[in-house]
Amino acid sequence: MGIKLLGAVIAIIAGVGGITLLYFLLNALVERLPGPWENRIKPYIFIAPAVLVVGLFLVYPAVQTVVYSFANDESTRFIGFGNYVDLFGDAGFRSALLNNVLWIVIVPTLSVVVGLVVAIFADRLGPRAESFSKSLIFLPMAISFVGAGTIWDFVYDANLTGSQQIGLLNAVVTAFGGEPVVWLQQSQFSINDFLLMNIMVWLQAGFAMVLLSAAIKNVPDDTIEAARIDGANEVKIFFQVVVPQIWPTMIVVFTTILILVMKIFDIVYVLTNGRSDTEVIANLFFKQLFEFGNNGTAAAVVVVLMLAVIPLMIYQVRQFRLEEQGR
Amino acid sequence: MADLRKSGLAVGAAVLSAALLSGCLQSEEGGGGGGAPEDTAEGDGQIQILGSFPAPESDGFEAALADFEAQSGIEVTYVPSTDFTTEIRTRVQGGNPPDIALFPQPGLVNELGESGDLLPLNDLVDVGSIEQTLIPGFLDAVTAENGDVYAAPMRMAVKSITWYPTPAFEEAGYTAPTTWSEMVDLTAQMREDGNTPWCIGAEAGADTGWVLTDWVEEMVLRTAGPEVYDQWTSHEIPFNDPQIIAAAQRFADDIAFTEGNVAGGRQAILTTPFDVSPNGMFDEPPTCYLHRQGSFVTSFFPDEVQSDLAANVGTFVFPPIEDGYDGTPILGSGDMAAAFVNDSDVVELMEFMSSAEFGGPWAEAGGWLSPHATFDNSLYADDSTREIAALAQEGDVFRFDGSDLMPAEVGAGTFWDETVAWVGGEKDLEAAFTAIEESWPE
Repeated sequence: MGIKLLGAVIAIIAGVGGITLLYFLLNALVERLPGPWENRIKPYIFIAPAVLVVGLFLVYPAVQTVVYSFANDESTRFIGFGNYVDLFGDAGFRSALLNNVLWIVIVPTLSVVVGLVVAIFADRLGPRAESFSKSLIFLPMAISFVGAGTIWDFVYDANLTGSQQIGLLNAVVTAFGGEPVVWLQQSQFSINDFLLMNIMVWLQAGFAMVLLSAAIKNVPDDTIEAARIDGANEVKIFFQVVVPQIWPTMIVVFTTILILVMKIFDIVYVLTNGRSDTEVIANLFFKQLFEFGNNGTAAAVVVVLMLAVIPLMIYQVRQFRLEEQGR
Repeated sequence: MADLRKSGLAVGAAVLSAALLSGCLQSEEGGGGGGAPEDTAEGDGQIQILGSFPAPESDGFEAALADFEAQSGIEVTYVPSTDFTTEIRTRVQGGNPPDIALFPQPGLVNELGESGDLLPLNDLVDVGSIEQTLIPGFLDAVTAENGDVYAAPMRMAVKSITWYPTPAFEEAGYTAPTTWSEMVDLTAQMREDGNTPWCIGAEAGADTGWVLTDWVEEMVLRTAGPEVYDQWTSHEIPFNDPQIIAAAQRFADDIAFTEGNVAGGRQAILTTPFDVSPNGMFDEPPTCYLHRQGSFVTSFFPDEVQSDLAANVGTFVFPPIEDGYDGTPILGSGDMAAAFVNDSDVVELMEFMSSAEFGGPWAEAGGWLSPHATFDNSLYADDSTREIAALAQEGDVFRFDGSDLMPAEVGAGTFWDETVAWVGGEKDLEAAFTAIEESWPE
């Protein structure tokens, strides 16, 4: 333990010191260049290490993954589009794709709606009640996905052997005289999928609420007063005055949660591991790579996921830039 | 816009250079031994072993190694991993395998053997001599298609055991059955008495399903017999062969789906954790009287039961079916030692672990059975363990857990999931097993 700690301290000092030294040396070198060349080259010298690091640890593995997705499962021979053809011909993969679509439509929408509703109503409370209710909604943000999955696993637990229900949901059902239900196996109408999504909304609504609440507080009071004088009711004020002004924030929150949800893995892995039609792409990838050892198939799965995320990333970056310009 | 174009160009350049760097695949080395055996290097006095069983199970293993370490001067470090399959794969791919790994699944052994990552066992020890003392059928599980053996069995678990709570069982006037029809009659009797015969629990987190695949395997061995079983696990017959479907159906008809036969009913099988499921036998009054599970299950029994196993639990071999295979097949599994590094220390340890004499202190500590038929049964700690060891040694046929022999996509994937879907009532048996057949990799 002590040695590990010492190692960490040394690593931090050597790392930070090393980088500082590197920049110092590079800078000294560039300054020896004649006249205009110094200023021409300097920016590249300073950005080069960052580009190299990103290239080595992000771009290189990403490209390697794409390459592997065209190779066989041992990554020894190219097989063209075989992995992709197999994937889209596989009912399990299509079902995972469909589930992911459900996830990305429902979870960000619900998180934003819940976050917005809480933000609006908390805004009208006294300062103490506001901070209390907001803390309560924000609390789950501090819980890891695996932790949240385990917590809700207990909520959805079903005990059919006759003893007491430790699952909250079934305890309620049986208290009203119902029969215990095995919630996570209810695949009709994707009920079990929705129960899993509920966990994610529980986790993310706090994040949405904090950002949206700040945005609502930034809405100038005079615009609202002007609408009120013009005779608009509260509902109209909300939808036609407040929402347009916080719309960019809503979009940013929505896309942030959306990108998070596209990669959803932990909750599904902990609660169902994809059984009863709850499979999602990231869990499928994990199984293919680590449990089945199929490099090619696994690479193809993540490439599909990557291709799906890229347009959203671009959209989000653009939206962010627009907002920056607006300021 | 010019700004965007420029950055696009930069991204393009970065991707292109990365593509140039990474465009090649791994070389196709190895390809399944066959070549001349590697020379044995001089050992450095240290060996790292990766295995799947954590403490306190590993205490017995370490006790079994203590004498070896003292005599040879080799320092052995055992590293348990609760996520063995993932860890061994990542370490092999990362070029950092342990010296020796104790595999719970032969399927993975054969895969890593054929890819050239594991050393053929013949390079290290005399396979012929350990084969003579091993329980017949054990080594077949880790023999690759080209005839190479990659791992030495060092621990056995017997699965074909039916457990019952002796005091309550005898009080109710029941006697242990020896044939299938006696067992079916017994369960009918229990239902008539207002009791529930079976406790079955298959919930195991991400691994949910293995309990059910064990049941299916037991049924295939008993109805269709070991020959069909071998054809089935090696995919010489399709997974959804009528004989296999009939075997699974027999499980449903005689045991699992019969009203009142399983505590909590059919759905409870999937929601009851496997490690908690036997506890119903020790409730007052018992919620069930029979439980079929491997020899390792005793470590999950309540403490007061474990303190005097012989008085509290009785066992009988999961009975053969009269109209099926003529004989008593035993289903089992085990841990198998395979080596990644060829040095003199590893050779010495592999010789020790694969020998019929290995394991005395572990047998005393409990929770371990030797895979060797010649092992001295008097070394086991109690009579019930001795009985179980004798079951496997005297059984007509020993077969390794089939799901461990199948490719991981099936054995740890669809076989689990689809059987769960069938028992849960989401799919009918035909559809579930057909889906498994379709998932079998070419």
